Amino acid sequence: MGRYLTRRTLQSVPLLLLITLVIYLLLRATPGGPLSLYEGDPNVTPADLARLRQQMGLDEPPPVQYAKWLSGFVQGDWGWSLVTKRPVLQMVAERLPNTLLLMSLSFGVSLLIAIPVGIISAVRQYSAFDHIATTIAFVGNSLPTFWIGLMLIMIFGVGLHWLPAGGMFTIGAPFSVEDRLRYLVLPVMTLALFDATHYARYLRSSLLDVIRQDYVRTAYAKGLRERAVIREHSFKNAAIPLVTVIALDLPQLFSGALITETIFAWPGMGRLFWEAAGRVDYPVLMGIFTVAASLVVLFNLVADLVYAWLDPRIKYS
Amino acid sequence: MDMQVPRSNRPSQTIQVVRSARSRRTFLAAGTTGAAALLAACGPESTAPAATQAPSSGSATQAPVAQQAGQPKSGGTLRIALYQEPAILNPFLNSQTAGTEVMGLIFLGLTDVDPEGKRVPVLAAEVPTVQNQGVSADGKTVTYKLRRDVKWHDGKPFTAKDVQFTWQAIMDTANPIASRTGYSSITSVDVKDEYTVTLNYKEFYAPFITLFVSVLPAHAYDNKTAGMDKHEQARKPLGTGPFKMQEWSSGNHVTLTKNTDYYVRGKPYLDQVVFRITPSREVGVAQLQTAETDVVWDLSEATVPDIEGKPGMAVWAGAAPDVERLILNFSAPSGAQQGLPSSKHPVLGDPKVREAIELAINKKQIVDKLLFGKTTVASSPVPMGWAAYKPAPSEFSPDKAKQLLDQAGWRPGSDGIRAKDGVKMQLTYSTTTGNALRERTQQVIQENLQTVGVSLEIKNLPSAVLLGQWADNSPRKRGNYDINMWTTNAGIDPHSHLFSYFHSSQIPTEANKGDGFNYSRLLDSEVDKALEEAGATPDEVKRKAAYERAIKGIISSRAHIYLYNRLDVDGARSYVMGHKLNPWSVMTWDIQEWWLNK
Repeated sequence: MGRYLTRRTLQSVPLLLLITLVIYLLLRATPGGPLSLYEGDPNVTPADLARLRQQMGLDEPPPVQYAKWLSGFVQGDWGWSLVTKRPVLQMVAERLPNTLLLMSLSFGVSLLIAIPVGIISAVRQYSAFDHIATTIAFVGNSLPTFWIGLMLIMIFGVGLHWLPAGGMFTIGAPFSVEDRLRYLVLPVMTLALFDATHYARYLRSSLLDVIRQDYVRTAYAKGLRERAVIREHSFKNAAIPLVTVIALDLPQLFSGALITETIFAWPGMGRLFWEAAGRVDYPVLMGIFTVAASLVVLFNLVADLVYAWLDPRIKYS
Repeated sequence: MDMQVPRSNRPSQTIQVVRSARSRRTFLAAGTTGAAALLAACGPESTAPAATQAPSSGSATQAPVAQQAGQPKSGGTLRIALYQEPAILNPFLNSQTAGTEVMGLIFLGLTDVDPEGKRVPVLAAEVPTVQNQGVSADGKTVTYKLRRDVKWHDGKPFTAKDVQFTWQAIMDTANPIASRTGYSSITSVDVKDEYTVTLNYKEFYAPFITLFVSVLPAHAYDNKTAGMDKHEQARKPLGTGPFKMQEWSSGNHVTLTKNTDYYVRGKPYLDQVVFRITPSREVGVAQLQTAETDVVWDLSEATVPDIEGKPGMAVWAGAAPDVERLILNFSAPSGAQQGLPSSKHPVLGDPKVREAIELAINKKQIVDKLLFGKTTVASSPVPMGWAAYKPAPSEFSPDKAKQLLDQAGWRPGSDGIRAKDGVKMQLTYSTTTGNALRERTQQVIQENLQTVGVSLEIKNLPSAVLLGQWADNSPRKRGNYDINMWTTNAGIDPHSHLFSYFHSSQIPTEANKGDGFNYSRLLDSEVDKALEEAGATPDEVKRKAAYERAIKGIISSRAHIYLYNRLDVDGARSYVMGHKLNPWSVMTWDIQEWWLNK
């Protein structure tokens, strides 16, 4: 196990290096750049642009720029934003707690919905509940989050005035949990609805496979109650595909939900990324991309480890 | 889904400008670029395309007058939705329109421009002119007498030293300041006494009065000019304006509180102003509808119907100096001669053809049908302000257009498309992608020209490409295009705009690495002379006359064909009182006059 971990960790180093290089090249290959907003201003001369390019370090050969960025990054210096002139790490640190709050809540809510719904749907296949649940899941999965989000705003914000249309808390009001929750309801619902339908469909189909297995029939035959059969014999095995899906979604705890955060004016990582992309702020984009990529690699490894726990037949050595 | 990113700023005259030179309408987000393309799968956060935000609600120009009713009441918090987060609150490092709105509350400049386009004193006691001895006869020495009753937000007095420091900071190369145009023509700033400051120019700079639209506090920087970008003042600035910086919560809001020491006694009326950062105009409008915000800054015309006529809401709209236009290429669009001023476009090189194209375009229909009659047909690069010259709009006459083309020897072929010496009248027509209003305008113009035998092929490009730089192989810089379409404006002092777009020295070439914006490759010695003359004298009467000559030549050359004038639009709850629209400044230019009638 230890050797397996070491090997996987070592393998991920070149992989991550490659990822950062590809991201770097892609960013540089896109037309425009942080200085393009001055294009069209008759008061910014080519000499001014050359001076800015030099001040931003954009005049150096790309390999040098990449190397400088990389050596800084591994030492914990993520560089300075070209636009806000603030340390990237500080900008990320401001947004990360907001995203963690939103994403972990949505994640929890979606699992609370998805697990019971998925199990009942599978166990009572073709029942009225199953039909309704699968229909909702199908619809929910097909609706884009931005549409759900906008509809929720239209109905509960603009129409009924029950909940705020966006933001994170009432500006100027003293901190209160109730106020925070009011602002959380709609974005969490938007995200959870989408994820829950997604997870429920996975769980239902994999559980359907499992409960037709001989060992499940054996468990029933020896007189175990249904609840015990599901819990002890079916669910853990059926959860393996779900774990993969969930593990790959977990990096979003860091990177946030770009669309939902944007619709609900939630000051999280998704919006930070979106703004940086609009401003072609290379250091900020590189920082977010790299951490997000590292987390994907990390959670892939975690998923593999969880498999071993869920299914003792899977062994790593 | 179109991928528009928060608009950066309007190209001319914006950067470093807090209180003058309207900066709200970018022309198509020159700063919106490529990396955004990586996000190709994103949602509706796309801010409304820059050009859909064209005109709206011309009638609403009267609205602010109606708002003046009643005695102003003091107190209250005003919430303004910005769809863009300010990046940095240093007026000389900022390159964003949202930033200028926020800084409009904090910083004051020596002078400002009123809604009629008249220069008015702010921190200066009077506007320097040749008549009041503030400007020397050759225009190279400018003396400002300053107000004596102005204090910085920390209570320290504002003095001539601050003006001198501001210039020194701008010129310090350790600060990443984009534009130093004008400031770099100054050789020294002399502090004559505590409240008198003299600027010595090495050469006459015609728009000298547009400089120092913000002044920085020398003492807050300990008189050190370097490193302004990383100084704490960049995020928590000290100014002399009606509101003080209180709190900035990233991605969320910026809060400012009343400056009780503001030099205009009894003002401002509001206790607090909160800028709410919203990801898009649409979110701002939703918050306006739920009364979670009081004002939504810079709307697109598409959202106006959501507000106009709704109870409790008002549209603030007024004419802007921005003009939507076609840009015609006079030079060879391809081959060895491409973009060279000496070459000639096989179709557009003939002035008669260009005239025929303008005659064939039904501008009135574009305004009436596509812009709901909310704006006006354009006829000039400088439609408003002290230097305005606005002739009657061009005639719409397909018959005259056909006659002209016949005269010029262009005969219709079997397919209806005219040709001459084997060259067919087929032109490409480009604007930015993902902009519904622009695309519909293209269809109208395409049909208009079809009827006179000119075929247009629409070939739109992402703004980063269409409006890119020489190094990006931007077609307008390199001269490989026929007709382009976008918006720009001349600002309150039209000099840099007119000079850089129409003077023969401003043609982008290999030799100058693409400097200049004379994309049409206009070579007109009369226009050149008039522009040089206008740029050489501080006498406004003479300058205006010279610009008029230049503009006449520019209009008749049809280097640009002006389509329609654009509007600035904001939305508000109807209890927000006291605001007057000012096309030359930011929305918040008169924030000290605003009050809440509730």
